[in-house]
Amino acid sequence: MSESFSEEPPRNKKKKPSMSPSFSLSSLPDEVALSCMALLSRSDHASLSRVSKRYRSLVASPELFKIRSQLGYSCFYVCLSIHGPYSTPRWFIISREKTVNRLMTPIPPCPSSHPLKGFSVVSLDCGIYVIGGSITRKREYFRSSDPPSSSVLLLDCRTHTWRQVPSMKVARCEAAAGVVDGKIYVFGGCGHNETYGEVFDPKTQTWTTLPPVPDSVKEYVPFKKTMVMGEKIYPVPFWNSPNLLYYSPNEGIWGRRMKDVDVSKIGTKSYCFSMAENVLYSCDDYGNMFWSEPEDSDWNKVEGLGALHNHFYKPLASFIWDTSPCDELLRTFGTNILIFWFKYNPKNTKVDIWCAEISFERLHDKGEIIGKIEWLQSVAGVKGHSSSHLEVLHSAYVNV
Amino acid sequence: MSKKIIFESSEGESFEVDEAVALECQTIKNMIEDDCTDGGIPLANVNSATLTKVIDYCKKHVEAAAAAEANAGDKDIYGANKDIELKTWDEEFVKVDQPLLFDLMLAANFLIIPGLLDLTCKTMMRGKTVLQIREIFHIKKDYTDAEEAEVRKENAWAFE
Repeated sequence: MSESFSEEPPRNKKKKPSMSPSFSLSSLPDEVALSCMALLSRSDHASLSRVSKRYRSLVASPELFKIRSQLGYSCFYVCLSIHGPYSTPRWFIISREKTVNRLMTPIPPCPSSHPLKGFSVVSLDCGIYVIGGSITRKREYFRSSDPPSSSVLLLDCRTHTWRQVPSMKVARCEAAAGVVDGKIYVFGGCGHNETYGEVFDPKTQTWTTLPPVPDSVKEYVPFKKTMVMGEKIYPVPFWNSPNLLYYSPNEGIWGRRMKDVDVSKIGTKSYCFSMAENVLYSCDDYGNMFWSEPEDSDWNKVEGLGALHNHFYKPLASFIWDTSPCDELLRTFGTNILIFWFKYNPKNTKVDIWCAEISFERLHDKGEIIGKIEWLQSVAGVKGHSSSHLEVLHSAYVNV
Repeated sequence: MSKKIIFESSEGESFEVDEAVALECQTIKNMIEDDCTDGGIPLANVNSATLTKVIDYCKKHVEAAAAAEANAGDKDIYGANKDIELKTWDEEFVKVDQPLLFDLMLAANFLIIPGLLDLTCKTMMRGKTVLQIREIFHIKKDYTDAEEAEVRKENAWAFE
């Protein structure tokens, strides 16, 4: 809420006779008012809802979200653990507007049934599904013996309200979850049993068991991330694993990817990667980004991101003890990626959460990918914490 | 010499512009493509003052696009290049009184000029408080106090 107000002081007494008679949003047909409102940010919508009943109904109308999604608008949501591993996570919305100062806004607190760790997240339609996980508050690390949950929460991003949706058939922690054709596929995060995988159809609000997995999957393997490539769902384990398992919903079969997703070459402790336009991207501790074809195990450096590297490596503040990227990169519009990292700011003893949005251009003739920093800035400062208490648990982009 | 298009404002005043400038308006572009622009285009709901501004905007953006093309590749590492100048120009452009700004928005909506619609809408409404919006658009509060409290609670996330 930063825009300069100087151009029209609130006490604008210029009630000129020349004023256009149509000078009121109220006189606009809904269609025109909606196309204007669609251009504003979510926090402006919150202000508009409070203006009058008509505005409130326009802001909540499906038409508004339809226009916004046609315009390619989307919002980023980030789930942070701020007060250490035993506290309830908080969700934030990130404004992509360059002119807004306060970039990260907390949304209403999640219900106490929100899992603390080990949950999976997918975004579908106008909502974010929080799937399984654990609410154990005793230990710092997960063990397969921690009681997992089968519950599923939905955050409706149009109204920022939480509600419970039907639970899974099986309780899961660190499960893989991905969306193909408007259905949510979830698997793993549980012992080997008849319902290793299941699928949720939001239209019928029902869970259905997937075909049984090959016998080779016997143990509980926690999954760090899920990738959806070519309409196949790949769970990515916490450690480098050859021959990734996948599920192909269209064929209704399980399979193994023969090529390895080799992360060892990057030499980073916290490998994180993301898919955008069928290319895998990763980022190391120094702000270097790499890309790889899904069918290829070579990693190539993304060119043109020297500024990002400098930002990681030569921070603005004089002494910095932590600029590691978070374990989470995310996909935006299907083509851009957001990177988060933390920096200790000695000036105000806060830990700043930094964020950059990167777009990519592929030069097929040269076999290169050029990255461009769309924006880069500190989105929030968290007081009184060392960055080790901060963690980006999940992120999602939603067309709202 | 490039082709000229003639606009006619609601007051009946004629404005001659280059075709390239007129093409910035999607509505006009469609008309040009359909070849029905001969004898001028009457814009019954756009007055002269507004039309002058709209034409200024389109001219500037056509020039800027041409300049950007000429300088393609001349970008700094952030890729920010020359659009800072255009942004500054845009900011100056919308420093007008509210009625004109509102008319500009309507014109941008009618003529389909996405950039101008975006600019005017945001200038008018972005970052405004509830009271400011009511004042700018002359809207009367139609909530009871209880209702207002409820809506406030619902949207509290944006005002924390």
